Amino acid sequence: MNLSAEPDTPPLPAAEPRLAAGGRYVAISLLSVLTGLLLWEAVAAGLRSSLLPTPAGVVHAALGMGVGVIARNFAASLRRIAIGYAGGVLLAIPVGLLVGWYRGARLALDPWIQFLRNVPPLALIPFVIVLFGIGELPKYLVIGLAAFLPVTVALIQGVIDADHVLIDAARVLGANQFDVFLRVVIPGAMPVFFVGLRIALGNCWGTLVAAELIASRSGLGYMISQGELYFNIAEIFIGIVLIGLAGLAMDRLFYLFQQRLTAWQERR
Amino acid sequence: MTAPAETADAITFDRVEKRFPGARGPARPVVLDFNLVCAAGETTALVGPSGCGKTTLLNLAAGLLTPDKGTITIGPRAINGPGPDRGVVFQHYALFPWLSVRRNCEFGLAMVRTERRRRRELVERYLAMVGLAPFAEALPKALSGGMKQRCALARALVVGPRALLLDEPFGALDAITRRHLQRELMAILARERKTVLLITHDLDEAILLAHRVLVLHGPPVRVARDIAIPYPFPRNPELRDTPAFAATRAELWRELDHAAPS
Ligand SMILES: Nc1ncnc2c1ncn2[C@@H]1O[C@H](COP(=O)(O)OP(=O)(O)OP(=O)(O)O)[C@@H](O)[C@H]1O
Ligand SMILES: [Mg+2]
Repeated sequence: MNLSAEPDTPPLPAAEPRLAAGGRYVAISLLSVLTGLLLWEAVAAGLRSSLLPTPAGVVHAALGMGVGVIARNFAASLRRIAIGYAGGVLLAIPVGLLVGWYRGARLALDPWIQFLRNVPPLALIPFVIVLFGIGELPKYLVIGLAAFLPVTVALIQGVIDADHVLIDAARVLGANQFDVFLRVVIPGAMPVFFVGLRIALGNCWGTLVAAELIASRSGLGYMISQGELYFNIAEIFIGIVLIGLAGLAMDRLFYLFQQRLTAWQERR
Repeated sequence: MTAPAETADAITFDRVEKRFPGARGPARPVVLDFNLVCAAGETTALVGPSGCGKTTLLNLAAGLLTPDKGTITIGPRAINGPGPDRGVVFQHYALFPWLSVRRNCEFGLAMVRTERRRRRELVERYLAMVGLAPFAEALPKALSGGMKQRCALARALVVGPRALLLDEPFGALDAITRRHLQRELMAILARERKTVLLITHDLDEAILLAHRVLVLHGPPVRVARDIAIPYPFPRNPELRDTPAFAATRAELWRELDHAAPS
C-alpha cells in the first residue's frame, strides 16, 4: 500500500552527462600535455644548449641507454614503493583506528605521532643508512614511515570526527560498541582515509627518490644521480619524466577507487 | 496486512533528575524531580519553548542519556540503555549516508540478527508503506527531505518497536510534505498501536496526532499544562478547521506565551 501522495519516480541515470564531461576532461588534458611538449621542443631547439635536451633527444637517449636498463631501474623503484607503501599503510590502519577510538591510546601515542610527523622521513635516511647499510631494508623503512604517518594522522582524525548523531542512531537500533565502530565510525572515516592514502603516496615517491639519490645502486633516483655524475642530462630527464608519470598514474588510480568507495558523499 | 500489534507499554518517568555540567560553576539541572506517565498505546505530544528540555527527556527515554537520579521504565522494565523496543526518529534524519535506503532500513534487523530472507521481507513491506519502494537502492544523498524523513521513519518501524520516540520528525519539512507524513504516521499507528512520545513545534500537529498534549516549561523542565485531546481515531485533518480545534490551539498558545524563554 502506498500512502504517499508525492509523485515518486526513480532517479534518472546520470551516467551520460558524466561521461561527456570525462571525455572533455581527457581531451583538454591531452591538448595541454601536447602543447607543453611542443613548447619544450621549440625552446630547447631554439636554445641549442646541452643543458636542455629536446623531448626527441630524451627519447633518443633512452633508446641509446637500452630499454632494459631503464626498465630495471624503474622496476626497482616500483618494488620499493609497493613494499614500503603497503607496509606503512597496513600498519597505519590498525594504529590509526585504535588510537582514534581509545582515548587512552591517543593520549599515550599522540605526542610520538606528532613528533615524528614533523620530522621529514628524508631526515632519517642518513640514520637508517648508518644502521642498516644501503640494502633494501632501509629504503622500505623510510618509505614505510613516509606512508605510515599521513595515513595514521588522517585515520585518527576521521575516527575522532565520527558523527555523534549517527552513532546515536546506530545505538538506538541495537548496535553495540563494536557494531558502532565497524558500521559507523569506519565507513565515516573513509573519505579522510583516502585523502591520507593519496598524500602518503606523494610522500613515498619523494622519499624514495631521495633515498636512491643518496644510497643506492638501482632505481630511478640512482639513474638521475648517474646522469649527474656523467653529465648525461637526457638520463636525468628520463628519470624525472618516469617518476612523474608513475606518480600520476598511481594517483589517478587512487582517485578512481576513492570515487567508487566514497560515492555516498554529497559533492558539489 | 500486519500482524496484530503487540501490546504496547507505558513509559514512566519516576523522580528523574538530569544535570549537565555548566561552562563553569555547578552542574545545572535540566530535569529535576520529573514525573510523567505516558499511557500505553497513546501518543503524548510535548510542546514547549526551545531549550526547555524536550530533547533531554526523549534521550533519557531512548537510553542515550542516563538519569542522575530516579528511574525511567517502559512497561515493567527499567531503561538503562538504548534498545530495539524503542524506535527513535531524530530531528535531522540521521540516515547513514553510505548505505542505500534498503540497507539503512535493514540496519536494526541486522543488529538483532534477523535472518536474511525475513529481513528483506520486512524492509520491503515498510518501504512500500512509506512509499519509498522505488528508491530502495538509492543513497540518502539522492533523496529529498521528505523522503529522507520517511526513510528514517521506516528504519525505526521495521524493527517492530513497542514505543516510538519522535523528535520533531517533520520539523524540517514543507507544509505539504508534512501533511502527507502526518497522515501516514496516523495510518501506521492505527494498524500498530504504539506508545509514542512526539516532540513538535507545530501545535496543529500535536493536537491532530496526540491523545494528550503537554506544554513544558523549563529548564528545569516541568509540565505546565496537560490537555487531553478527545477526538476519536482515525482523525480527519479537516478537524483543524473546527471551532473546538481552534479553541484548543488558542489555549496552548496562551500557555506557551507565558513561557517565553528566559
Ligand atoms: N550535552 C549537553 N551539555 C550541556 N547542556 C546541555 C546539553 N544538552 C542539553 N543541554 C541544555 O539543556 C537544556 C535543554 O536542552 P534540550 O535539547 O532538551 O532542549 P529542547 O527543549 O529540546 O530545545 P529545542 O526545542 O530547541 O530542541 C538546554 O538549556 C541546553 O542548554
Ligand atoms: Mg530539541
